Amino acid sequence: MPLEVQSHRLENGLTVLLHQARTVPLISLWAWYHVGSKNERPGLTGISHWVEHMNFKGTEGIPKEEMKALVERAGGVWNGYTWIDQTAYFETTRREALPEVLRLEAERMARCVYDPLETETERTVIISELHGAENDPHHLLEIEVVAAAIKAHPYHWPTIGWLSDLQTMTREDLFEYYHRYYVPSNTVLALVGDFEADEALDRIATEFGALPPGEPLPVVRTREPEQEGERRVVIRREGTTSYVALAYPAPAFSDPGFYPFLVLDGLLAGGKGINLWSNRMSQGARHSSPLYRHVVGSGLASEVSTQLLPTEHPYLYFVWATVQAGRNPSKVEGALRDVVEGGAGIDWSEEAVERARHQLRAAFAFDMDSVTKIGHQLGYFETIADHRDFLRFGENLDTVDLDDVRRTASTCLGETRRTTGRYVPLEGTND
Amino acid sequence: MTEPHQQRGFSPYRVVLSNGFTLLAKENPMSPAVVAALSLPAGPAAERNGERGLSHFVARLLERGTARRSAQAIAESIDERGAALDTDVDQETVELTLETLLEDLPRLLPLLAELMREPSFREEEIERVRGEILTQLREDQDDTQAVAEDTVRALLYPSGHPYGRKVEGDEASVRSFNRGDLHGFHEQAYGPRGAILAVAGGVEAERVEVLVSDCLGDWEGRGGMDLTVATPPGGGAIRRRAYRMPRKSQVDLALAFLGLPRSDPQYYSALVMNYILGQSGLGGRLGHNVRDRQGLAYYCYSRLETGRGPAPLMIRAGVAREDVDRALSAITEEVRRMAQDGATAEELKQAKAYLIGSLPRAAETNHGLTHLLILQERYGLGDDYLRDFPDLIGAVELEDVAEAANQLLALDSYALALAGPVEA
Repeated sequence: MPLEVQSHRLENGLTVLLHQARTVPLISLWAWYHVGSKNERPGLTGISHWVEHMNFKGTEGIPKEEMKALVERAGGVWNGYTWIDQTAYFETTRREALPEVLRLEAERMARCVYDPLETETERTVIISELHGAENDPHHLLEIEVVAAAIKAHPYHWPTIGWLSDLQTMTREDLFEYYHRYYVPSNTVLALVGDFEADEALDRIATEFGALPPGEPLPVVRTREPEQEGERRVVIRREGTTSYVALAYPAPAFSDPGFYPFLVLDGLLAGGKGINLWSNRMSQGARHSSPLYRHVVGSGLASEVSTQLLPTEHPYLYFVWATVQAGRNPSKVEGALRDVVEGGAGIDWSEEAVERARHQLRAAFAFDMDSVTKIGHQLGYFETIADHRDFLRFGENLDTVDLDDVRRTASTCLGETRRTTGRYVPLEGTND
Repeated sequence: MTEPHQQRGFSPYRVVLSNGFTLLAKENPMSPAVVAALSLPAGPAAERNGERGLSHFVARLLERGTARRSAQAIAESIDERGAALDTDVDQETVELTLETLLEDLPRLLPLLAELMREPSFREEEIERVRGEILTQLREDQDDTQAVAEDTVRALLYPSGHPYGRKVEGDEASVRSFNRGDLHGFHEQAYGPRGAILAVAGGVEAERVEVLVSDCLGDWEGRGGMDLTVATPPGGGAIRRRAYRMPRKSQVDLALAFLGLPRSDPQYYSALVMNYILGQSGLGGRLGHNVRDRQGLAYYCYSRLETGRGPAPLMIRAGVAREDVDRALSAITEEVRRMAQDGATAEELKQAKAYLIGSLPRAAETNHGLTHLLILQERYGLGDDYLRDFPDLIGAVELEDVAEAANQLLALDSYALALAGPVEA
């Protein structure tokens, strides 16, 4: 899938990716900082995400209200997110606003204000975000499963952070972390849309060029030790529905095992692509897939889904199921294992592999249908790997054959590597 | 500054077949994909009394088998092409959305037509879907946001009104439906009248017309209808209900007013007013007060819904138990301020710039295009709607915003629902 991308690097280390798409009068500017929850430590968990929140609250050159106003005037949408490897910000606006949004991101990189009163107000907002997420049993279960499946590596704690850290972190902690990680040498800018390349580069150089590169940053060195036996976590809380989760260590995006695993997931549940910004990643298993037929088609579960996400370090492969009312959760667990570990219903054939590849290629095309999504993908993959690896998605898929997929299944999906999570609803809450 | 994309206009290729079925197509030449969205007036608004959840149950069954194909065969046809079929039901309509690569449209569009026309309602599939819906209902009972929204709708609208219904129904009704009910609803509610197919992508419109005529031109279904929704009487007291869910971490609240029909000429004033009240930035004035200034909530915003009748203007927020009263005070204060004083000139200018400026984004993708096409057709907004939109918004003045606020934000007559660890 040929996508023409110009790649540049300023002297201060800022990486710039440009892709022109001139059919709509829009631009999408993404700023990617190579800092996420894996860069944190106990006592400061959740800091990357809180820093992201603070970076919407005004800079020395652009007060908070004006930040919002300039995006709105241009009919634009803006947002950001933080995850385990990265923090991203974007604006998608009418093309005329390019100079303003470039200025916005340059100001955001170096001159955010971190007003102490604003910091305190945001503390309760973030705690509200944490509590809102806790209302959801899936979220609670995910936190427990990840923490059990990953014991050593800093992927262990949730991006939102632990409540006590959020209650005690200071404005100085945040400000210091911000200035340490938000430097040009730690940043990728991705610009997609209707713009003149030379003009854009000039502006970028003007806005960002004078910023010092930043000090070298600590690298996350911890490697998760090999898992040598099954782990199990249970949450017993008021609720109405039972959930089951399975998790297995999964390769990082740049590991040779990633593409075979992606195709294997396609055989199990249908290929979903690799765009975190797409709804597709959290949708249920395809209805013709072995997981769906065995677990939902049988009436044991009402939903089943899987997730393999592209990450910088090895993370996890998830399988989720919602137990149908009145059904035995242990049977659901057994049915999941029958397929995922036992291969029940899996079509181990070249045709099936090609079908999974085709689903992945189609998803790839669907998930690049806007300047926003293209900007997301280019910046996302440049941050955790190299954007050219992403552009070679189709070729990389083509190198996967049936043997690779079978080997991945037998090595990665078994009891020794499994973490099981159960959400057990206690009776009599909400009536 | 020239805006060639808007000057070309947005007039889609529009055809009404002899059976009343409407096709809209918009070519998006750079796209390797196509989205075909089928909208039918076969949602809860088509249910009779005692049929709560029937429209949703039927919609869920469409892809579970036709006269000629099993559920498995249908799934395989879609999955082997890497395509996606989604089914959505809201208070008025059922929408089936197919996304495929271009080369698969000739095979999958007829499949979509077949699913809609001749579902088989096999018993084993009925029981499977029944189990899934019942589980979903139980999950929703544990979901503070769902409980708040479902409750506020039921409070806002008179008993039996479709906008007051939970789309999925309730346990008792879903348990009660048999094959006769499902098939009967399909016969009565599905037909070419009122059905709209919107197609956008790298297609040629004339080719799509041929394809659609082939698979839908002979559809004679008795059903189909012009969508009508009763207008409830306004006024009445404030209605409030709290569902105590003590072990939840946060309270979700929904505060709703009767809105206005999409085709009402005042709609654009209401849209601008609502944008200022609860959409701009982090949630308009509401978000600025409750989240930004007071730090009481991660989310606080208002949404003006779209409907044939007066769909709600709904305010939502998630707050800690101890902050519920403060948040409600702040919300009602902002509503009062808007209802009494309207907006400022600066706010009006920003809102208009945003709404007009966001058009290219709204029309960028195949999904965005089909959404706009259906909106245009369903509510009779005219083929030049997108071209006219800037003028429609541009014409909104401060007094229009004030009037919309005054009429809609009835602080003596709204519905409020709370769910979570509320005080008893």
